[in-house]
Amino acid sequence: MSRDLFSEKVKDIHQDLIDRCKLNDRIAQMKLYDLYYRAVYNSILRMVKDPMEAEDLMQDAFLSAFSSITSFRSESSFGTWIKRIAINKSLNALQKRSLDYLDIPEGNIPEQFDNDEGSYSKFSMNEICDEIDRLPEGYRVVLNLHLIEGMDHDEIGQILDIKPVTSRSQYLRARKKLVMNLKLKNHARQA
Amino acid sequence: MQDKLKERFEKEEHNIAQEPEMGHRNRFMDRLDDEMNHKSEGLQLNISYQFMRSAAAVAILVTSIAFAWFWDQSSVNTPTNNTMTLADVSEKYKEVEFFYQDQMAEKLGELKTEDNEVGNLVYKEAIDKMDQLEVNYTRLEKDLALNPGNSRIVFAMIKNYQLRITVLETLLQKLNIKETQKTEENEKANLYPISPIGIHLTPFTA
Repeated sequence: MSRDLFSEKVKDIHQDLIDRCKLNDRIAQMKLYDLYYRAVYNSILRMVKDPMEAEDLMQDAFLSAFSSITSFRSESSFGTWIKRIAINKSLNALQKRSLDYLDIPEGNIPEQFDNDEGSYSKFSMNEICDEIDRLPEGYRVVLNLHLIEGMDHDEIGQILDIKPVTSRSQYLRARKKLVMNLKLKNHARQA
Repeated sequence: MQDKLKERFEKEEHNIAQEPEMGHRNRFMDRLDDEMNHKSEGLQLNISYQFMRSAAAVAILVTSIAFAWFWDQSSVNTPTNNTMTLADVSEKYKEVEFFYQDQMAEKLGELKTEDNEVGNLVYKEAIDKMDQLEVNYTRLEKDLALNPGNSRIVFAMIKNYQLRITVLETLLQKLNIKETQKTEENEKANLYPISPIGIHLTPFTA
């Protein structure tokens, strides 16, 4: 409830900026840029990994958003909307839609997560992210979208054009691989 | 069991945020400027083009009525060679032709006054377009000689002149927009060498 009220309030604050952007108000556009550039940049950087390309795509995302701002409906927040544009741009850049995302047969999907916290608790967030970056792209994309972007499997399914169940099984395989790599790294460290 | 890894990311996401390269804000503003300039130029030209189209349509209508009126009253001159000009059709058409030629000369003169890179480019474009339309006009003159007084050919000739005026008007407008933008940017740059909201003003490039 309080969260709803909060997001309503955020919506109101931004609505004024969005209305002004619809009139091509440069100051309002730059305010939205200042508010969201970091989040958008980081979402893209984690996908494409190259800082220069990430900046270009981040700015592309803002330009696209401003030029189509009249089609923006305030059902979602501006932040969610522009992030969606940004992720689409990153995926296009990676041409990742053609990746193979395999279904794990329904019965084999573990309902619970193993008690594997010990394998990664000693690592910092940056170390875990570095390890994610070393995974094959099919794994990396799903881990980024679920863990970092906080998208659920319905949303990931939508954006990658795969079934939610495929997204979930891909995530579980990617997660398993990540935890295994961290475990190996931990052993190497102790040795 | 909860996905503890996911929980950890939810709690500590801010720890992995990075900043883009310095100057990204200015680089973005430059791109935004380019985009907006491009867009507004297209919009204004579009409006002027729409306006000129309507104006040309009205002009054609008026000329057609005048043509029908004078057609009965004037005799058609016999052509002396294998082409026939509007002036050969009747005294009134001589005036019409003179009017358009006068307009063209005036507008071309206006276009030529901007002696700079943009001005010269636009002037060259104007001359090229006039040459293209002149080729069509010469063909119509030959057709008219073969079919003296044919109203469709006469209309086509008038339309050709009107199109030349429209093209010249559009190019003049284009030149004026570019000139205005340039002046405004110069003025802004003089007023605020560093603008109040930290915008680095970029000079206009054609």
